[in-house]
Amino acid sequence: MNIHLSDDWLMRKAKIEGKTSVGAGHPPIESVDQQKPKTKMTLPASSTDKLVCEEAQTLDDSAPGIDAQSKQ
Amino acid sequence: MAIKKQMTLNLTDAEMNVLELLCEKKELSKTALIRQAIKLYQLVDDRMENGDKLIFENIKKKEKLELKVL
Amino acid sequence: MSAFTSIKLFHHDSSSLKPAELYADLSKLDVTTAELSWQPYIEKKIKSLESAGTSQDDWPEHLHWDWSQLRRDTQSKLAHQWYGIKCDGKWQGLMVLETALHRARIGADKGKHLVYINYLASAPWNLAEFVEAPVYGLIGTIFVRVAIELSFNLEFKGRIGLHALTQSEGFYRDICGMTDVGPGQEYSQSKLRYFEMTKDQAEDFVREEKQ
Repeated sequence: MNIHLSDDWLMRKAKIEGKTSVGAGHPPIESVDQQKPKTKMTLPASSTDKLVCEEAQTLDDSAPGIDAQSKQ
Repeated sequence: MAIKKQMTLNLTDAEMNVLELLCEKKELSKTALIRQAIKLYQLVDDRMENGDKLIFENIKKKEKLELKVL
Repeated sequence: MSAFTSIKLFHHDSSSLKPAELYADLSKLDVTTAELSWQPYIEKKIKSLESAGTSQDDWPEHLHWDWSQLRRDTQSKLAHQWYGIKCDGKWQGLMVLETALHRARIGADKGKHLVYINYLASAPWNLAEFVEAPVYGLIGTIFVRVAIELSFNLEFKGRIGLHALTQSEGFYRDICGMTDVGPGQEYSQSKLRYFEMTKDQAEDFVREEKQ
């Protein structure tokens, strides 16, 4: 990782940052179970993780590869 | 930085057209886009090997679509 | 653990910069070591919140993070990159980046790739919510700079995104100059606000270094 941060810049940033909290984290996909001592950290995902997967119809497709069927 | 290996990639006209369109749309070089494709392929493949389904959802249309890999 | 980049952290007590190391590609052992050293502070904080009867909804979000589990889940995944900052022989911060699944949501570059900061945390002894006298600063600033640099390297032009922990919103909005996009969207049950740095904001951030 090719970063070069000058002492001047770092000191300026340190004065501005102060003792501010800096954390960032991916939101949970579902409600955190408050009984668990450790929460599984979620990986970036689309909203699909929240969905109940309904049965999807599959189409026969003459071409090899990916098949898709839209379902409401 | 990790050592990189070089390879030659032969593509059909159709594949190259898609690649070039995607590169223009995403403002990425061909190499960068193919690297992204490999990452995405790995993520999807690992999930599917674990038995997960790949589903797209359109919230506005209230549609769900399963991408079935045969 | 691979080769490191030499950096500096701000030592609050002496108001001076101290040498530190930025590591990429952390091993399981690195992550476990960090977690174990942070755990006593986290447990103490949890006990104090429990004694005070604070609802878990109001606990700092990162108290329950399981870094070792995350390390297992992301092992050998090209899309995830781990970074750690070490100083005084201790892990002062951890960051996990995701580089394949997230897209810019705002501005002219909406839909284009960005580097997403999946998780970023400073060691609890560096945080005012855990200790009266935080030891080191600049962990957040340096990690944000690292994410921007990776974004440039991947041809994403410096674009980054993240969900800020509630107590950190000011840092990303006011200190890093990111756009506060707001909460909700596909994570409607979460109160965490999404922040994004456009390529122009990234250039401003980097340009400041050269002034």
